Amino acid sequence: MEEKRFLIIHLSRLGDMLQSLPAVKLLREENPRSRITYFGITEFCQILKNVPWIDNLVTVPWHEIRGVMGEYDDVRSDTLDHLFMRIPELNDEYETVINLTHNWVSAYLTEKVKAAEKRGRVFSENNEIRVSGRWGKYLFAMVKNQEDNPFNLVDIYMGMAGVTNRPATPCLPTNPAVDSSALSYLAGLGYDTDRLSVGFQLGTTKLNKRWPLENFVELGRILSLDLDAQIVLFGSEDEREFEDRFKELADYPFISLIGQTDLGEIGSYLKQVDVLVSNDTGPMHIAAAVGTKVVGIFSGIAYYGVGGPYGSGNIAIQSNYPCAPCTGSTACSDPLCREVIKPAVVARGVKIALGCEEPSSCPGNGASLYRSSFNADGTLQYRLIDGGTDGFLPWLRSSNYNKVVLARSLWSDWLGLEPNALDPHLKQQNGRLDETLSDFSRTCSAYREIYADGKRVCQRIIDEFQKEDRDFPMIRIMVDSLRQVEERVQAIEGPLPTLKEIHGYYMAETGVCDFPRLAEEFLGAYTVLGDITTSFEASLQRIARRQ
Amino acid sequence: MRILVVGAIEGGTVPMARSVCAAFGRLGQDAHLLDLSDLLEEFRESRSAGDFDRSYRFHITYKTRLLEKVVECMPDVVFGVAQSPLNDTDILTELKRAGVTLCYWFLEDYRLFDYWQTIASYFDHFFTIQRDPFWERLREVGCCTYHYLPAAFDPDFAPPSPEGKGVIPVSFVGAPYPNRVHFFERLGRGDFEIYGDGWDRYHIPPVAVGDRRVTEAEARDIYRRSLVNINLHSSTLEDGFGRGDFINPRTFELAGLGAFQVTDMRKLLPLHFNPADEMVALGTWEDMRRAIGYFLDNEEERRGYAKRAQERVLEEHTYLHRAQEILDIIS
Repeated sequence: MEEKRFLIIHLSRLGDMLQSLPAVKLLREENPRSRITYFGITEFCQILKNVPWIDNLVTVPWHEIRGVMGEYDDVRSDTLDHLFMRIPELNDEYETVINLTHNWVSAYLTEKVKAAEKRGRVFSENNEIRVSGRWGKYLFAMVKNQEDNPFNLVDIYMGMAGVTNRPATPCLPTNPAVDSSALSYLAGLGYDTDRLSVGFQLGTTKLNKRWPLENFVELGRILSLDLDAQIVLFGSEDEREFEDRFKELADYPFISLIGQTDLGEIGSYLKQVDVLVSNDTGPMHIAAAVGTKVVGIFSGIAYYGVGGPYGSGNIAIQSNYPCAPCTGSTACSDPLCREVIKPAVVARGVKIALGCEEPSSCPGNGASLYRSSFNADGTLQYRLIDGGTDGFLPWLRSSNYNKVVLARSLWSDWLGLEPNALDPHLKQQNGRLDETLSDFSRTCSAYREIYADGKRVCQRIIDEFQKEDRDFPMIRIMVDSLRQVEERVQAIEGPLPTLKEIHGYYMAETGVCDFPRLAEEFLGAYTVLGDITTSFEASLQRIARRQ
Repeated sequence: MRILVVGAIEGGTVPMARSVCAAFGRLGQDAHLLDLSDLLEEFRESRSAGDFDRSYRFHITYKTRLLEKVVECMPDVVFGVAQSPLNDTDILTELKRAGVTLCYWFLEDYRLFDYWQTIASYFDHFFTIQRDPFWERLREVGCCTYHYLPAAFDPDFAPPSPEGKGVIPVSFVGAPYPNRVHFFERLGRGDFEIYGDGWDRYHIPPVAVGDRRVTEAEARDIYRRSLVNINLHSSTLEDGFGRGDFINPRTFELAGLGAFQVTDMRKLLPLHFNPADEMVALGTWEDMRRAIGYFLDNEEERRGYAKRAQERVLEEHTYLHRAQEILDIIS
């Protein structure tokens, strides 16, 4: 059997790159005789150097592409042409190139690579965002609507890679020799293998998603008292100040590895702790990838829905503030959404992750807890632990969770996943589910009607062009009607905002051409989009009947 | 310090000038107000007639009033609020040469009202309700002494209590910006009332008073009679919701009155109110729509939010607080 050649492009952050590993692992599993080339950013790819399912690791230093990361212009394309010529692996031929990142640089390079099949964003001359494949379109569509997205990034990457979604943990093998030396080193610092250990990743690159250090200190105090846990601090050389401040504030012993581990070996250290409590960072995903339980704290721009640590039994703690996740341009220099996540709530998350406490309702207004598990369709899902009906913010979060769970059922069909049983959380919602179902139905029916009108208009234009004696004034009226169809789509308000984005990506695939060909292309797009809404409506009816 | 506060001829900033002037006075300053609101009729006539001569004469009138007042009270500081007619750069230059400190409180969205471009650099202190990128734009036009100063509430202006009048379940008071028209068309509530000028052009049932600007006293009466006040910040974008930066004066007004409000999330809001306890600020229209229903059914929680917001305003966001901030900066 001939060897299949895959090129995976991932030019983004460390955390996202780590979330691509399960897809790479499954790609190899499904294509054992394949040759997989992974193209990423040098600084982050250090951790991938011994990953057995990557045959060829090709990297580019961050500083070389940072300057061209914006959108298309001639200067940027010249720089990238030069880069492309310099890297021989990009000039090879592949069966499939999978672009997992949605920036313009990766799209431009994907366009240039010779491959029979291209997935993800591919550069277009008109500089429109063109994305091939349903999962790829979905990834782009959900970026602006994170709170409506029911899928973990790992599952989206699996879909883009064309593999069957299923659990793939652990997905980052560590070197056994480094594991042993990590353990010895820790023992030298007083680490006791017979005691429970909890790691703290204190830092983040972005300040607004960093849980206050004082809260970590208080959390350590609670865990030391309640669980006799030993606390191990993780962090980079740049984060030494955290160690000093922790020392000032903590009245209990702890071990610090801050500044003592590099990216290549940190997995071996994270493997030694029973659970890692972390802000939304690269190390959080490394811990999940080596199989360590994780309690992730999500505030500021961080959102558990897409970036929750992969694997079963992890905990995500999400700020309930209506502005979280924020857009990143927030004015909060000291965001309140971080403060509102109390150490006692995180301690509860740790205990649930360790199996010391049963999942139960979480008091307070500020944060909600979610626990991850795998669905029958092989995807990961974070399920809301607290039903939260004792205040507006928990109610709102729970209400939005309902929408996300419902959206999962609808998108699953379209994305080719096995239909799941009705989520128990939805079953318990009774009247509230009815309202959500009705909102969804109203939105879907609005889309369906618009697409039906769109198809009718396109067909009339096509029919008119087939006549010898064409009625051009009527054609002009119809073309205006087509414009109105697009305006009506943009004016829809309601759930499923991702659908509006998907609409945009299908319309971007229509060619730059004249009528009647454009009407034919629009007809094709409206047919596909109309089918999506029809299938959504059928799913909603099914769910309503099963209630 | 002798401070001359120059008010606007019309609009929402007329009472703000009165309030800030009174606050300066309470802080021991020798504060004077140039109230130009009596020129409103003349102003409207000069605008609507399309008569350039009349318009010119009107300009002379208000400039004369300004100069007369300056000569009368010989201020150390001239303090203008948004829409006040401190737009003659010759006058501003002369005042500066005379050693007067010039201040302006630009209580507007800089994207919608661009007159700041021509006047900002003439002021010694330019107070804004937005920060970057507005400050970057200000630097570009040569204004380097800008300060963030959000709107405030005046607890001393108290119209009669609305006892005996009916309760309004859900209301909105304000102008019909594109986003408000777009979203209110989709609210679908029979218990919703809109008050303000220009709404009669839109067919949003069941609009209550849709064809005239309501007075400040009327607005306060509506706020207090409403179970849920919708405070949707203006945007020229139809789908503009929850992505803006500044907090409008209505936010402080409603909170200060102890009236319950739901508002769209603003980037600067967490600096002044806690979105978990004091202010119901929503990120999407869908959330706002649901929140309205939720709070109509939860009176105790509604009252709790309103009370905590009111306490915060009285502690931190009155004109007295703002006047003190201004004095700290300019003295």
